Amino acid sequence: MSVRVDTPDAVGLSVGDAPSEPEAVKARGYWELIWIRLRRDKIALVSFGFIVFLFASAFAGAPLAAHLLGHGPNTQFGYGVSYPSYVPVGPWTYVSKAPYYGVPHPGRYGHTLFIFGGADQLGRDLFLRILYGAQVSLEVGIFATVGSVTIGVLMGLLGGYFRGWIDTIVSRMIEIVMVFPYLLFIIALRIVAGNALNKITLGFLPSGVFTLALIFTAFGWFYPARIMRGVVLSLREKEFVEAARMTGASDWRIMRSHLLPHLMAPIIVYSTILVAQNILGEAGLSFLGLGVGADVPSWGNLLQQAPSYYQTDVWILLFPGFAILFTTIAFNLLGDGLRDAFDPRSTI
Amino acid sequence: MVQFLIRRIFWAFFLFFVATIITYIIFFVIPTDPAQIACGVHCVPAILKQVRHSLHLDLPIYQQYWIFVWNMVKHQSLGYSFVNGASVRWVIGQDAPVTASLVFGGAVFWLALSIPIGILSALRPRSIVDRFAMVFVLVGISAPAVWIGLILAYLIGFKLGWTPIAGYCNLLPGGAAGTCSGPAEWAYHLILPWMTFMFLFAALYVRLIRANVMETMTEDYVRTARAKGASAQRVLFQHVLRNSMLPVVTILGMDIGLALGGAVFTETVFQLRGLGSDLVQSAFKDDLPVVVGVVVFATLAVIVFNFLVDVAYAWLDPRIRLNT
Amino acid sequence: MRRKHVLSLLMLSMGVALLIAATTVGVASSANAKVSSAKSLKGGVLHVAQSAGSFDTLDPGLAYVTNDWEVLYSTGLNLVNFPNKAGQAGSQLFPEAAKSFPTISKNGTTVTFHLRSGLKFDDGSPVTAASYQRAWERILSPKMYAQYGIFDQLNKMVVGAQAFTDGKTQHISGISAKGLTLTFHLTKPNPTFVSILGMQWFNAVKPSMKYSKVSSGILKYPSAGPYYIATNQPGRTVVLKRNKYYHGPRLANPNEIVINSYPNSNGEAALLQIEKNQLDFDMGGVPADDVAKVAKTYGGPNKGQFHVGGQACIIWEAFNNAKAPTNNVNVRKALNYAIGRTPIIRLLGPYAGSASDQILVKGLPGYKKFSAYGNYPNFAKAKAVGGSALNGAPALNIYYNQASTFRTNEAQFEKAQLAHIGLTANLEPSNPTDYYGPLETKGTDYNIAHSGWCADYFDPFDFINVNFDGRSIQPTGNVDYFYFNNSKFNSMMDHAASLSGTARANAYAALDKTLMTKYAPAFPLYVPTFRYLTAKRVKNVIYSNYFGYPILNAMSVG
Repeated sequence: MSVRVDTPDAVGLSVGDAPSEPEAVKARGYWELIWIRLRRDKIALVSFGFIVFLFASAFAGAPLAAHLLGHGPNTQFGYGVSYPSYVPVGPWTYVSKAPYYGVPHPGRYGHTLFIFGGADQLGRDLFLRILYGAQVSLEVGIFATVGSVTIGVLMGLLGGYFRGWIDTIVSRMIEIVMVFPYLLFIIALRIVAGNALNKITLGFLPSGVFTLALIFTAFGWFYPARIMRGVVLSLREKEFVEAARMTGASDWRIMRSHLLPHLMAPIIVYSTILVAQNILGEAGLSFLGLGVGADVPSWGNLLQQAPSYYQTDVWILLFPGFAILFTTIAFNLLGDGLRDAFDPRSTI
Repeated sequence: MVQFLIRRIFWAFFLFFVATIITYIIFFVIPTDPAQIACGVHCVPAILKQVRHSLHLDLPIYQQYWIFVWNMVKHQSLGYSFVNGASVRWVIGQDAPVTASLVFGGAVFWLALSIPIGILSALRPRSIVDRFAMVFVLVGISAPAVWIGLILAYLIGFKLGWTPIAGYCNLLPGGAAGTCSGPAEWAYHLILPWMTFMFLFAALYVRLIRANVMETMTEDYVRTARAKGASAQRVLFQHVLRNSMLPVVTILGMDIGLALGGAVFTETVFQLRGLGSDLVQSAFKDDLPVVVGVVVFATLAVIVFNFLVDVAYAWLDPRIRLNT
Repeated sequence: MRRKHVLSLLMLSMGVALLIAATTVGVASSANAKVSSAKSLKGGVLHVAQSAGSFDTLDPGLAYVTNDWEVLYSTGLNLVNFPNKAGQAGSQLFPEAAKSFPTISKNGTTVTFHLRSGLKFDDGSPVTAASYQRAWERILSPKMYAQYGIFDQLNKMVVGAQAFTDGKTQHISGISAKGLTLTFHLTKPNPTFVSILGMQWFNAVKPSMKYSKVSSGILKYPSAGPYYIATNQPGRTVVLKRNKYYHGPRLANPNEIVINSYPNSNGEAALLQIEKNQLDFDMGGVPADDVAKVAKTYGGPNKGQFHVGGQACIIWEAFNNAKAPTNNVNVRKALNYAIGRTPIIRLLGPYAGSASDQILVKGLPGYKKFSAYGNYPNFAKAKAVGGSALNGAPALNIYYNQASTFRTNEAQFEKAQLAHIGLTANLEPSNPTDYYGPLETKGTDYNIAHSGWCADYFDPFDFINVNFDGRSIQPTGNVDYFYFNNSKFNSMMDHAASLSGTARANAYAALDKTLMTKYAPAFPLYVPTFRYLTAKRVKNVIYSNYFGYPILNAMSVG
């Protein structure tokens, strides 16, 4: 489920937290300052390290592990489930590579190793599926965040800068979406329209990732829009905007060159937290069977099997759950750290 | 105040109609053919035509929407399920008590937990309680709802065997035969779902309450009260809590929509038949009237709650009604 | 009939002419007529749950799913019906509303029933021949929501039925009802006609019962069986109460039967309640993942409270014979070798059923066991048979029900198996309610879809002719959703249908084998079972192979 992120201190950037004398301080100096502050924050650094590690594991480590283990995340082993208990094998088990359970002399097909996590209900390597699942989570998380923050910033800029009827439309739209029980709506919409969208893969995405990113974008832009609008509303009264206007800069130029740099802090902080929300969203929808394609390894899809199997095989519940938990914690902590780093009140 | 009320009522109505238009258009226009869905398993063209006519799908879209709204206003009817012909209003009437039990019971749980923890950690920043609370907050906002539910079901329901892991009992005794009922059974079956809610929402509220209390403590009137020699207890209860709880009330009203969303997962995990899980089931079955009915009803619930909170807040805090 | 659960076999004695069939079954009946429920078994309220499901409809003119029929059996009164007996005896029809099996004219086309006198609906009004005439009209009327009768080709069996179905006449001219005498004029002699009348479509209904245009049909209506529907809340609760006017041989043990449906539940909650004696029985059965544990706790199947019953169904993966690559017989055969039956059954847990690679099921006349493809995957053979047809074949679309853990797993398993022989597949989630809708629309784009068939009545015609007659293919509502149309096979089926006795059985045995070895239009998978737990207090559990459930009205909680 997605969690409200608009509580005052969730993002915590009140209007004007952005550098107050940007013209006086060189941009490089500003970022340097932030880096110095961030470097002092051990927790944020560890979180950042974890996220880097996660990206590496997902996109480089997963194929490497599959290569080393000699089987892929979708390879099904008949001997990955033991009979007659009907329970998937546990961690660190050598499993016959025989094509199906009950083959004569399964030993002659050789063995493969399930390192961590054991097998899932179809005799697939749970550990590899979790590694590959990170790809889906990160893809959904990043694409949906980029999408909703882009729209949100645009809307916030337009509404906050131009005010008048544009602002009325933007803020009314925000207000309408906010009273909407949008999670229910997402679920319903996902089922009604999802199967058609799932065919869109852009050539590299697993089935359903695009759909989720699109839906999360469609319903995720209004919080960033609200935050950005508030920041822009206060910035547009500042002298440097006035000065730019007097030098004859176009509205577009003012927004791009003068306002946007000041929005970087809230954008970065908010995006980091939003990635965590979108990862949770993927997990929730996939759990309901509404996420990515059924055979795509994703953390939500893995969790979906848990209710049926946790009484006999608790790994299926624990592994994907902790994978999600650690990842979202890392993004949330990094977000907190960045907020503190951007916040000038936290003195060096 | 009257003017404020009128303005809010108009706005609520406007919101509601916009929401129904969006819902209606998306669900009745996007799918290939609702008549085909309604017509069911063995659809022959003659019956398809009849169904299309009886659903008014042969009319222009604005007329369809008008009929939909008219039925809703005049007959309080949201149509009939494509799947089993049940009245959607009746379905919602059956489901709403389950979801309400879950959400309101959950709210009691999460407030009961988050208020003391939030206050304690605000009064003693960086103490053990505070640090523990911050970790709790972090896990609460980071963990997937379904996973928390499943972990609770596994540990408390399955391993310890203290609570049922699924099912619902009616609050009032003497429901339909063969179903469990009575307040004790009701609460017994809802403990785990409530705890799941507690985990998810308490995190947000602890953070909110902590921040509010800390901020209020620095307000001038608190300092004044202290300077006057009021006891710490009196300052806390008379001045700090009263003012720092006000925003919590607003947020609580706003969270109804979020809680309804959370109910989808909690109901699914614990197999409760409420609005959320029936929405998922109905959506799987392309049962559009039920899907639209639940979304519209939930929207109405959110709007009504927000309205009530607005009014209550304006009544408590005169600045609001003057400004807006 | 279709899916959800299963119907099982009635042993209609192999190769009997209509008259002989009638007499044999008749013998069974006279013995039953004397059986009445012992006083000690009567009383109490039977609490039934239905996890992971609900009733589509309890209108006999619309019901076509096994769980619906399970209830209708307790409420309906048929001319001929199944007795409350376990095992084979339970699948021998006996004349219930009819005084005896019908008299049949020499040319075999006029069938006359004489009804017992004094039969009454629960509202006290009499059951007459017109009640059954109405049942026929309701199953075939163009004014009804769905016309399942056409699936079973009833419109071709009785004179005037086609004209009625086309809306040209107000009544079916070939059915005449005078008082307690009901006469059918058949288009041609039909050795299976009497057994067809055992279907729950032919429950006695009031001649004034309306046509229904909604899918749930008429919720409550007077019925003449041991019980009547006292409450019917669609998707939730059904309460059956004893019909005080029913004096037939079938049991009416509980005073009341309460069935609560929990479509959102996987059955865990109901299972715990049964174990605590708070609930008597779950029509959803034991959840697949709990079967092993439950079997262990209760000492194995059929030793006490845990039961496993067979069903007269074949679960198959349908192939679309009209879409590449499954329009190629070599691909279809290769798939029959490659997928493997036993591994799929394993996904359902213990005692789920037995593998089968033929269309007919045990108990049907003409059933002769053969194994053409084996139960385990054989990729080498599959590649050899598939040959060049497998090279560069387009991706197959696998339809599956995304709401079902098993179906989702099964689809993924199949996709993996296909990869072993160089085929690729797309997993296409489908609507669980209108699952058959897209399949039954000509031009559908599925290649493989999980489905199955349960006996409507015990004759191979119901399995082979009904499903594989390509001449029945229409734009929508196709029972032949394999789109299998082979003129040679069509004439073979026509010939087999015209035969009776041993010749009929042999002809169908040959058809079954030819169909699978030569054409392989489908991938038959397994013959399923129903695995269920009953509460400690439940006595007199009589399992019906035909319905695939224990008989509700026979269960005793008194």
